[in-house]
Amino acid sequence: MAAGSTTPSPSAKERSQGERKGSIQVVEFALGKEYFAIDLFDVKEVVEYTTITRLPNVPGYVRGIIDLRGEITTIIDLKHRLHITDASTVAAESSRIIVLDETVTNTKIGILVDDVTSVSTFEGDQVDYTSVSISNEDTAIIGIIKRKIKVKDKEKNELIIWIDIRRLLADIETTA
Amino acid sequence: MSEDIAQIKRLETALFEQNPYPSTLWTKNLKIADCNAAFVELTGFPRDRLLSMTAKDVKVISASGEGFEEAERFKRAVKGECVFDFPSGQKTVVRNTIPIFDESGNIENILTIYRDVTGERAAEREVEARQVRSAKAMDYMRNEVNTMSALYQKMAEGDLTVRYKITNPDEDTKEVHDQIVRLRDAVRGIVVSLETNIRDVNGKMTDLTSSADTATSSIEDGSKGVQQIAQNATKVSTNAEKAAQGIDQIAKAMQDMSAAVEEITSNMESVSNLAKQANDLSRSGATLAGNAEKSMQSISTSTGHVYDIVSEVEKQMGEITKIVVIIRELANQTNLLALNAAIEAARAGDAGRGFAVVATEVKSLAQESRNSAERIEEMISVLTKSTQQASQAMDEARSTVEQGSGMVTETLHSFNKIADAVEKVTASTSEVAAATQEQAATTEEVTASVSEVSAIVEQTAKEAGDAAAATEESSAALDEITRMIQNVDKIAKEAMEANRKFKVD
Repeated sequence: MAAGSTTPSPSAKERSQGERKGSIQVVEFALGKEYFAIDLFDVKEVVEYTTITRLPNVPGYVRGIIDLRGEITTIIDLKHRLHITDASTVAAESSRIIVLDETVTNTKIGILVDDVTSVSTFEGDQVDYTSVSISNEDTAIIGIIKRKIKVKDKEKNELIIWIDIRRLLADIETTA
Repeated sequence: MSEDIAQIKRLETALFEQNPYPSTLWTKNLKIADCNAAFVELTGFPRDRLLSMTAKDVKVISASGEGFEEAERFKRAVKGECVFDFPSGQKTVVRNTIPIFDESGNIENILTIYRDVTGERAAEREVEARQVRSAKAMDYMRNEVNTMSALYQKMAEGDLTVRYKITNPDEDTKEVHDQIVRLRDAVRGIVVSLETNIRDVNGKMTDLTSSADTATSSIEDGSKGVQQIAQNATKVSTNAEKAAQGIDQIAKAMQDMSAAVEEITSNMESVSNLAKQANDLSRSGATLAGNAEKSMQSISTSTGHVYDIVSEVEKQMGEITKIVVIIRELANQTNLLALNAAIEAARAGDAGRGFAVVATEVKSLAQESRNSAERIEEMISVLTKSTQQASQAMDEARSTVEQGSGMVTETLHSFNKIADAVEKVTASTSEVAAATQEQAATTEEVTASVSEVSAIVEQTAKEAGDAAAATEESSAALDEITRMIQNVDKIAKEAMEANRKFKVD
């Protein structure tokens, strides 16, 4: 899929930058102890964990395939892909699969996460892009979303890492 | 001339052919020219065979003295001894070798004359062997007899435990050995009888000395006894008088006793009444204990019911837990559905805004359901702990009730025993009452007897005086016996000392 890499489709980052002043809609999920978010429009649905059929001779982050209502769906282990080596063991049965929108990739893809917490709308000023200077091609981080929460009557910011799933999966497109 | 030849022939026949000594005429090349009948008989060869033989054909086993060689060299008759191996067997012969010369003095023929000494030599050898054997037997006998005499010396000194081991004989000394064995066995027999006798005597002597000791001490006791008797007899006289006074007192005491017996009789009646009361009390106690036992049984039954109820509660809680699991699962599913609904709504943009609100509400409801389920689970786990404790308490209660039940049974048993005991007491009381009456009768009889005793006491005082005189005589006789026994003891000890010299098994 050389064509895919030479003429990339408009990434979530580009779109979100366009909406910088407006609000953003994301799907929040957990990987280990950290919270992550991806663009709502990149998500088709969330399904329960089901038995994954392993594939031989594929990259480590390709967990395998499942049959989702008659369609073969490739499952990506996002923890593996992001090099999150958190040892906290979440029972496979309680983990979730986020099925991505067909516009993200050519093939049907699902990403395996520990839990999907919510669908949220954030205002543009809640997103910190500056700290994304640490970001580069590999990290695929768009920005850090700060959410105010109350812990024992104290206001505190919970940080959610907003990642560009399209860019993360771009190389999969090429290898797939 | 022929006359001469005939004469020589006759001579030859007489001197050579009929000569009883085996003789052979050899050519100078040591070939047999002629031999006589005696030689043929000696060798066992056929005559015609001999006439074709040379000296080398005869097998010589050994030779000594002089033979052909010396006869030729010294040109004279020589003598030697030889052992030949002939068909007739090995023969030892004395051999005379006589050279016969021609007119010019050279050896023409050799004449040998043999004498068979086989028998003689064999006899000589037999004699030598016999001498050797008898010398050996002699040595054997000397050694054995020496050993034996040394051992018997020891026995004579008193050690009868030594044993004589005879050296094993060989073929030559067997006969001597048998003789020595007979001798030893004979002596052994004597020693064994001696040992037995010594042992018997020692044993008997020991018995005797101990008997003597016993006798001595018995006599000493006797002697003391006799002296005592003498003293006692005197005392008896004195005491008899005192007895007479005592007897009067007894008569008085008997009257007092009669009065006491009457009192006992009345006491016994009181005891009998008390025993009856005790009996009644123990019976009512037994009834009460029986009631307690019944109560215990109903407690036990109740405890069993409670236990069943607790078990039922435990079971129900298990059911609740199952339901809670289902609720949680439902909440989980609802949560997922709400999420997907939210996603759909958001994607629908403004059109889905209303739906998004509903989805959020559903999601929060699902969350609440999940939280409630978790709370129920916590409560159930607390309850489970409580029911377990209750269950345990029930077990304890049950075992306590069992123990109580056992104790009540024991109490009941005890009351029954008390009732039995009281009955026995009642029976005993009756017996005592009967015995008391008998006693009263006896007391009267005693009073009568006391008078008779009084008369006997007087008689005793008189006889005691006679006894004192007799005992003095006994005392003198005992002293004499003591001396005799001491003598016996001394003699027995000396005899034992004499025997002690012999050591026996």
